[in-house]
Amino acid sequence: MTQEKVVRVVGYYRDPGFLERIAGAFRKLLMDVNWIQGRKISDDGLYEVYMGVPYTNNFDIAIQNLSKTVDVEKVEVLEDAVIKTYIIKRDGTIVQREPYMAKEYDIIVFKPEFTKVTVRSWGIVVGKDIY
Amino acid sequence: MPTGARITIDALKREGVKVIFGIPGLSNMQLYDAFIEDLKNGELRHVLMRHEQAAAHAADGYARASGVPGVCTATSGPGATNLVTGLITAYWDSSPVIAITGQVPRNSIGKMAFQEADAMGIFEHITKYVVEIKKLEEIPIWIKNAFYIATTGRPGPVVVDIPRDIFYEKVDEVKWPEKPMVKGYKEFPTIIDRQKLKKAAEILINAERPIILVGTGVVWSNATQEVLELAELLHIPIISTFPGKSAIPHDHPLYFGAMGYYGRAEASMAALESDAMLVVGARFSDRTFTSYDEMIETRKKFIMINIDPSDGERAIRVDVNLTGDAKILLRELKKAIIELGIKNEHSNWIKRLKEYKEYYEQFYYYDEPNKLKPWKVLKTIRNVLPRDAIVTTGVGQHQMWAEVFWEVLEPRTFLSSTGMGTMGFGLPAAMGAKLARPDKVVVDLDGDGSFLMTGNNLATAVDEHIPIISVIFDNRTLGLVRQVQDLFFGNRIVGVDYGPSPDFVKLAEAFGALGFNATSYEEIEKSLKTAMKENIPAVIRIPIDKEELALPTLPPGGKLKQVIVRDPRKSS
Repeated sequence: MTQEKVVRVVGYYRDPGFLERIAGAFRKLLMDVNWIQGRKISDDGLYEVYMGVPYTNNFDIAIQNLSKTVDVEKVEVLEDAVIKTYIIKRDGTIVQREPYMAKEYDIIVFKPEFTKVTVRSWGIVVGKDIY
Repeated sequence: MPTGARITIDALKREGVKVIFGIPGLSNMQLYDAFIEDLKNGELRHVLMRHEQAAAHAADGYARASGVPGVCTATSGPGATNLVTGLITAYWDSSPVIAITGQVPRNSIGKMAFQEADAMGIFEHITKYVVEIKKLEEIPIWIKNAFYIATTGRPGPVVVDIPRDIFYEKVDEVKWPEKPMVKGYKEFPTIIDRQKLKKAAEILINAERPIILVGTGVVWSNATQEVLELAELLHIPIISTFPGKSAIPHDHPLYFGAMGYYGRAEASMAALESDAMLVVGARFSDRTFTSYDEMIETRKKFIMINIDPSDGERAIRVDVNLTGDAKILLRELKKAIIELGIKNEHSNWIKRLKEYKEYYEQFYYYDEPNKLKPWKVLKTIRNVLPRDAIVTTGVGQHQMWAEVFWEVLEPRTFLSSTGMGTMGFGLPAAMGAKLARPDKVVVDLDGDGSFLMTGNNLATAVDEHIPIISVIFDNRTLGLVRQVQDLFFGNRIVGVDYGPSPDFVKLAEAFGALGFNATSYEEIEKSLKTAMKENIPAVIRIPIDKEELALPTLPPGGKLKQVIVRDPRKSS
């Protein structure tokens, strides 16, 4: 089974091309994306996007390229992330289950748990924090 | 009250724009209407190209020759899509080009309107950035931002797409920004790390066979002098990437040529045999290092100076990665070396490379009676042109001959599509270069196949009085493809040979340019002198045998040590 790397991208949304460029950074290196979830985190248009990416030898180059993409403030690799998936059922109840157990119109949330983060911004590693 | 179109023009002028290459159409004609007075009073010049690809190449040539961004414009739909090849060419060669594209009105976008193309979707992966203007007030800041993004960090093209209804809108007061403001963008920093500089200095001082590999970054950083000073200080030979040719005067005794796929064999051998390589303003492209394993196996130490901090983290592990502007870092490195003291003279190493050079020259400078040999043609041209003449190339065998044999004598005088390998680059890039540097002689070294990809722009050169000279190496074939078919596909030649059309002399004359059929070295010299004297666009057609090979070369997927320097057909 291919190891999945969890990536958090923080950048400024100007239009949906922001998401296309993020996805394109992986597509251009023949990589896939397992899942993606994101939200607006500030009033001036800062967004965070979490992605589950199957690891390949191109992973580091994709992260470098993404960190040098206009609109992208920084890219974080949640190095030892373990994903727990929570299913929010239509009636609002939340259960921790595998994604395949979700039914139509249930919402799945991918919750990474991690202790190490490598932060890269415009090609430079600016932080490698251990929580 | 100024319109959006007028504000766009004023914003461009505030960035110092003097020339715009383009073609008007439904969605950018408001811009044209806005700059009529600027054309009349000489504050702006518009060059009406015959195809938008050429407009982008001309802007690219302008940027490479001058060091400041070139500007092009196109209408929506086909106008914008025609820019694609030109802009990706600029992107791959790190050239700052600003493209202003018209777009259909906002209320028509996404509705398959007449001449609508999704400029954002098209350009977002083949330029450094593309921005869609959503309202009039955004124009001043985004034109400024476009220039900022294009010229900082690794330079590259930026597209500003403006719906035409915004061009018509008016505003009472324009707020001109003093500074760019791009959220989510950072210039690459120059990091002066004393420990790293000391380590780099120690590696170079202690190396027995050090080499400096220069790339385009040296040109953009104007760091030629710093490279030469460092090389002279430590007696280190210099080689270059193909585009890096433009950085170093080839008559410098420490320069040994461009290495790589079609590079000079002695330069590639120098790269392989060196025990320490200082890479300045170059990335490890697959055209320069055709096999990373081959280079890693040499166990040499690598020092990299690059504006892009992550270029040193890619295919090859770099021992010292210095991030930032080449000019600044080379000065700091020189200081660090002087502080530590010089140890080796490297005279044996330089002697060895000179022996390599002499050895390979017997294969390069091979003459045959009754044939015009490319090396000798280029030597003839070099002898006629002024030292500071600017040369562009198309793409094909002639380009490879230029890589090996063209002598660059001044920085920023050799412009070629080296990253994307775009046929048709030569003529429009030469036109752009000529407008950037009108005092220089500008010559497009081209092939018959490459020239005809954008040759219609000769009409523009004539109409606009842009006196460039296209020298066409006419072998009636797509020679580089033919060569690969011949050598590596078992001589199965297919889909490459042209017939007798066109007659390049008549073609040139039909456009109103001078046409020459130069069938001897003396005629080449004479026609060049005439073209320079007449100072109008000219085409010089030179017949080249289609069996002529671009050597040195490598087998497909080959390593540098597998270099082929003699015609394999003759040895068999």
